[in-house]
Amino acid sequence: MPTSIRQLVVTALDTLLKTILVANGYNLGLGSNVFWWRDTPLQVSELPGLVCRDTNDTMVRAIGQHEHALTIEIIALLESSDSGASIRQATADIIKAIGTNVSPNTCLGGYAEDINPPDSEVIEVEHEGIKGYGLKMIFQVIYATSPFDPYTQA
Amino acid sequence: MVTDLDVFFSDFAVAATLVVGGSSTTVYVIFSAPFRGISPATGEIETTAPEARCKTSDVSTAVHGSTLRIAGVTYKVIGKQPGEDNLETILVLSKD
Repeated sequence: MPTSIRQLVVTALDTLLKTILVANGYNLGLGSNVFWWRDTPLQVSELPGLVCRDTNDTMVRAIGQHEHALTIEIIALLESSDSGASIRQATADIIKAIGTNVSPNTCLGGYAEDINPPDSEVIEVEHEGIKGYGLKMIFQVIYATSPFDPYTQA
Repeated sequence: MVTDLDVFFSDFAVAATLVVGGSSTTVYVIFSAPFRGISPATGEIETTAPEARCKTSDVSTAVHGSTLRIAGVTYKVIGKQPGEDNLETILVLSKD
């Protein structure tokens, strides 16, 4: 069974996000717990973590190909007693990680053309038995396929 | 009425250490920590909502930021809610 270019893009993004580790020079170990389309709550032991979703793939015709804009939603979740410093660090870590992988021809394993900077961000905190922070960041991955052939890169 | 409350707490409460501004006192609390999901930015985290029911006279000095140590776990007071009769106070607790 062939693998769609969208799947290859998501797999490459998953690999990239898993590099967000303190050992790699980042502030937080968000990459230790990366989940796609997680539909159950995270346990405290799984924090900090990322819940990711590829929510929408918009296609437009271009010359000899379809140009895709794949919307990616990343939710960073963490526990912290601070006043927001950690979630700001999480924001910076994610942006930094994405930025390491936007070079032409090598973007997300060579399957993507570019990653647009995040165009939306929401930060929220809720305090119960723990103080939980959440950051939702939305950005788009640009890639191309042959017309009506999601399995063939253009 | 106060006598009834004393009996109630002596039967069901556990000892805890309340620390307010560096001064600690032993108080008796009825502790519970039911499940609570929190949903920052629509990603849910599984946690609890710990709280301690106390006699108001025991915790009148407690404020946000005071600590309560129960069964070896230290919680921070993040809420102080008077009971309906003002004889009881509910301390809302958090580990953070």
